[in-house]
Amino acid sequence: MLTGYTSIKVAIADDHEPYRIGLKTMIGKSAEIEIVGDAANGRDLLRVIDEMNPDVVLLDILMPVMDGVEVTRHLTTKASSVKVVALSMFNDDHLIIDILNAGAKGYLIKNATKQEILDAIKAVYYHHTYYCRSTSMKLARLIANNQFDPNHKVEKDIFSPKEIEIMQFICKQMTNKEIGDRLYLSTRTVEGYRQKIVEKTNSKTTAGIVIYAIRNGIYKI
Amino acid sequence: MDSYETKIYIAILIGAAVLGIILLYFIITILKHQRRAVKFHEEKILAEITTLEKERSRIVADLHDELGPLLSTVRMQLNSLETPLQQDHILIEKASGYLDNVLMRIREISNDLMPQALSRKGLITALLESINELNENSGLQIQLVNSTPPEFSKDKEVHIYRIIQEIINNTIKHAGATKMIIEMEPSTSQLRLKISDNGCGFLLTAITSENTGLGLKNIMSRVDIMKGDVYLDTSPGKGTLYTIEIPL
Repeated sequence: MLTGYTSIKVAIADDHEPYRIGLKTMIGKSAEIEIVGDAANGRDLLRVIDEMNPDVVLLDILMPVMDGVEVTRHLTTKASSVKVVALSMFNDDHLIIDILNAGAKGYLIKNATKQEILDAIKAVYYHHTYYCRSTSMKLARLIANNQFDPNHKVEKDIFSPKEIEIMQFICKQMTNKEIGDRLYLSTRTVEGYRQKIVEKTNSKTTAGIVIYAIRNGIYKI
Repeated sequence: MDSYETKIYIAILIGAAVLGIILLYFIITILKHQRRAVKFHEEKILAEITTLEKERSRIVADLHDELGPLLSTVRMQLNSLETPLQQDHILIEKASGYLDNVLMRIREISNDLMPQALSRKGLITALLESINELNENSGLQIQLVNSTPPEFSKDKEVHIYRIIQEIINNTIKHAGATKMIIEMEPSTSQLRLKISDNGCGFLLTAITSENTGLGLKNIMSRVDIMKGDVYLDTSPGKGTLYTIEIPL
């Protein structure tokens, strides 16, 4: 930390305390890394991120309260500069796909060595991606089988086709009634959809929905 | 005389009627009993399978939430040991290797017991993951066709997954097949599942009620629970085709 250049600020989230503490101790020894906080679940991690502003988070995927995928999605939709490295005991296809689609830049399984973890932190900090060996092999196969699209924009598939259609109409400045007439739905149903979209995009107003839709390629201008 | 005959006829008629009623009563009782026995049997199977799945989920949760993370922690701590001795390095590496094997086995065992993909993402994702794995590691190439089944309850998804898993296992164990096609044909009232392989097939007459393999019995029990039907079409040298119809 006193080596003359800025260290990378890292936060850790894992619901298993011994592992979290062990990880902190292990990578905290590195001169290039400064551990700024840790959390036992996703919601606490978001608080740590708000307070400590880390550069990189090492994130367990399966956690109680709020899991790693939700945290990553939240950070991506808020256009946060925090880079996410998933650190999971599992390398199941669906976990890799979910977390990378949500916006994580690295994926390690928990038997990664200290060096691999440090390499991953540095790689994502410098805007690269990092996958451990077994994940890389899986990814190659998933891409070949069209089960994963590396250029996938953030989680379009969290919206139903109807929700995407309604988001596009919202971007065209249509009112709930106009959308309802167009889609043969009642105004009340459209309101329901709009509420769901507001929740899924983590926005407060229509402007938030529009920004989300444009940023994620749902509506093109 | 006439009235005497009439009396006899009436007596016979009454006798026959009484006999008929007794017979009807017996038939109804037997039928009722049988129906009750069938219902009891179905309930027993359902209870057994429910307990089995619950127990499997519990074991998986223990493996995932306790043993796995604990072993990962031990591995990490072992690796953070700093020692100048070459011998110690070799020992640490060996021990880490063993721990990796244990962790891998835990993942495999829990995946066999209850795949995470099934509870997190549903039937198709779980099937695709298991098929990907088998296509890479076994001599059997499986293809999943038209993978848009109707929405089923979680329980039904587990049944369908287990049925397909059992059929795949049977094929790998006995059929010597190289190709398998799993087709899903949804309609408004049911899902028709067709699973065919190019294996050696078998004589249908070889399956009798006493001689049904445990695998096939499991398949039939789960189909019964869902009030569905299984059709098996096979003969030596002709491969095997399972057609399973599951009402929505």
